[in-house]
Amino acid sequence: MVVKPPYKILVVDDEPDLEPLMLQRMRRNIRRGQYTFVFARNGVQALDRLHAEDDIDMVVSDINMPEMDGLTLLQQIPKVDPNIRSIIVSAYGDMENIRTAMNRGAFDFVTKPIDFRDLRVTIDRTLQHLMEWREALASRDQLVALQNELSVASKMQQSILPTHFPESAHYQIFANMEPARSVGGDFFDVVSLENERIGMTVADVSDKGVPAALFMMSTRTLIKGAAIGSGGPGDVLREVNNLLYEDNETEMFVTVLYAEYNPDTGEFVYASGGHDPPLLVKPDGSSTNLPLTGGIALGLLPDLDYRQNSVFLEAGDTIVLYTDGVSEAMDSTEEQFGLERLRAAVAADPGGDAEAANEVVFDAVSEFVGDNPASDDITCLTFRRTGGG
Amino acid sequence: MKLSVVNVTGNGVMVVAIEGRVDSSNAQRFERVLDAVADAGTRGMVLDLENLTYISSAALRVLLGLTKAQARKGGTLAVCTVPDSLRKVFEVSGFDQIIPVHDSQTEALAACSR
Repeated sequence: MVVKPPYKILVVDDEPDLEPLMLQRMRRNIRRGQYTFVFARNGVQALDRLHAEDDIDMVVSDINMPEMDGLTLLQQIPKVDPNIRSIIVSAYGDMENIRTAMNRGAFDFVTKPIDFRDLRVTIDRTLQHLMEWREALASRDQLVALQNELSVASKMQQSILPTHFPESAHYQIFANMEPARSVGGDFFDVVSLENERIGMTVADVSDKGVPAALFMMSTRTLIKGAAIGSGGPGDVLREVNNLLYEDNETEMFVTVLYAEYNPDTGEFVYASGGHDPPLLVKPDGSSTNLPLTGGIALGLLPDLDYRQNSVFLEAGDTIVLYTDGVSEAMDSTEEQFGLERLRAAVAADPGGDAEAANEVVFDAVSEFVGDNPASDDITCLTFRRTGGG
Repeated sequence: MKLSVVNVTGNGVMVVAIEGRVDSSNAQRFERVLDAVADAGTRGMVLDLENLTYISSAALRVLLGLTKAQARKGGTLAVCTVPDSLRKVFEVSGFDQIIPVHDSQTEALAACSR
């Protein structure tokens, strides 16, 4: 039997002699630390004790008692604690009361005169059941807690994603995140900067659950803060990395691709903190992976430098930022979507706006994976330089 | 995912082969098992990733924890024989700058024994 002894047993009987008898006959179990006993003389006293002492595991009760009988007591016990189990002591052959007691939730019964060996077996069986019941409750509670935590985290994740994108004569931008069933850690953000410049982030936190969601929120806020008044993406990542590292005791980290676009010059500057580099797509559908800038994921080590790289975009050029939920999306044979399929997908873009182009990627991934459930969040951001300046 | 201790050197460096996928669904188990192995090893650990098919960021986080734990007791964590598809994961994330990546077990063991 799974034991967490001693178990506290409340014995309810109007017969004063039962108390010393019980203590005497159960002395070995008491001495071994298996049981402890407390006593009450009727149902009212029993309820008082149950209210006063929240560690009583089990009740052994007589039926006929003054003030409140055992059958009435049975009805009251679940209101105090539904997880207390009861054994009824009845007259031999009193099937009517026994049936009533069982109907009212008694777990078992013993008959008078009490056979203490039988009582011991009955108590042990009841306690065994109680242990299993508690274990089941605990695992159910854990499951509920876990689901709650994931749903809280999921709401936090959704809440930081922008739903509106800046509109400009110079560019179009659109992004989306499709969460995996068990929460991943992707997010994206778009920040308007001075002189019509625009900052954009795609990131992936290394964990899930509420702590990861909090890490995600602080990453996003820190990037936003660093971006405003920064010297460019390399500086932003350097600053955010140091801030994240300062109070990161959990080995959590985040991969980030942060980029800024300057519509005056057409320059697109990006820096990677352990993240996949941007994909540059020309109007004819040809595409190139821009070079990695070699930075380490953020939050791991202090005082790192992050290199940045830049390209000049021409009208119609498109930049695609994504997380590994895109490139590593798997079909039922565990084949990965991969960069080549991503490039094929963007090449087939019929040439709508950035939103439509972004949708093309999600459609291609979704078609590829089929019914295979996504194991990671899928995030894709599409930025397109439109005509003019 | 399957983990097996494939070699223990005379100076107490353990070589653990990892097969299959390590993702967020089994990263906790991955961590528990490797922690237990690390507790048993005296110094240094080499992870042979030749038959690893997928590694998620949750698993990289476990490797980072192991690296720090090894460093605290004066040991080294190294990985070896990383398949090309996963080598990219180490390179892109920058983890190859934190965890030494070697071409062979022999090379990794030599580095851990220094």
